[in-house]
Amino acid sequence: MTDIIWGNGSEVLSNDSFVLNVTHRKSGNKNDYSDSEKIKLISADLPGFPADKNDWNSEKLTDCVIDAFLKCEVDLRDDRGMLLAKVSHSGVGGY
Amino acid sequence: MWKPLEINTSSINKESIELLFSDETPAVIIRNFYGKKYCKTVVNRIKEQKFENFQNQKLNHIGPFLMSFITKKNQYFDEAKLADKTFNRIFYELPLPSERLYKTMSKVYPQNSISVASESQNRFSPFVIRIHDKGKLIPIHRDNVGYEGKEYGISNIDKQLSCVLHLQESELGGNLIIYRRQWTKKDEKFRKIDFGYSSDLISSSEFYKISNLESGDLVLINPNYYHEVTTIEGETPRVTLGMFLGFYEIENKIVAWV
Repeated sequence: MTDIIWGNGSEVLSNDSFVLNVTHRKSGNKNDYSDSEKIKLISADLPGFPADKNDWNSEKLTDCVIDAFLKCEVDLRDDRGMLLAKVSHSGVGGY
Repeated sequence: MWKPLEINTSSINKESIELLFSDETPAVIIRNFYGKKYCKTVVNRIKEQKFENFQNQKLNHIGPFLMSFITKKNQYFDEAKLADKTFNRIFYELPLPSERLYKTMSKVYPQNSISVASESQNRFSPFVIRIHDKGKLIPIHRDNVGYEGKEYGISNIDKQLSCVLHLQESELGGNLIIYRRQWTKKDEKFRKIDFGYSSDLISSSEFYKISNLESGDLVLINPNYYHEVTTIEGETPRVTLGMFLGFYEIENKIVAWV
């Protein structure tokens, strides 16, 4: 089973990476996660953010992840400690 | 005191709607907007027309709502087309509450056009019917197409109004509570994983609980204020028909969707 963490985007680092302030962790995760994790996107399902990696840029990423509540399905942690993850919106705040 | 404005269809005017956008009232309640007999017929048709899941408590809504499809636009429009057929059966030879609302709003805003929203020749779903059985509730949330509906053209509206027609009330519970706090993006740190927000967000906010609604009453709110529906405690399900109106101020245009 994939590890999942949730939280709010706080700082964009590049066209495809940002800092997540972790607020929730899936019960049963295999690994531990700190309250702040660097995330590198392997895919994205975010309103207003392109699905095609060639169209990703830091401006669009900033618009879509800063303060947003996100779900990160973790693929692996790389040598630099960054989490490679599938990032999506997590539910909705209303109808 | 921050309390709802109760009016009837003939006395609604622009000033009463604007109170919702100037923090002066939590809700505008239009009593007897849709006839009680019509409401009863609609609820009976929902039960009878082979919506089998309605009776075994699985189905909780009829028709799609955009927020379930925030990154699946094509699927939303496909579902909207399918829902039209179901709505035609439910409202066969009955006045459509949505049309009645458009007519009312046309009188309130005579300079504005009003229609169901559309995009690239696709029509949005005009309303959703929600069925809440005993034990169900709607957690604290706000509705804001400008934030999570970015993939859709209507996300650039200037103002959003929520319109909920009560078709059937439960004997107990199912009350609407509106908190005197509006959503800002910073509040996203209070989000719950699937839907809505933690109650910590509104723990010190003024609120108003509306507990005297009857079938046929229409409730208008500014949905950027946090709101919730308390647990349905009676045996009779709470059934509502909900839709949003979006205002384009410069274009003098009002669009409807759900």
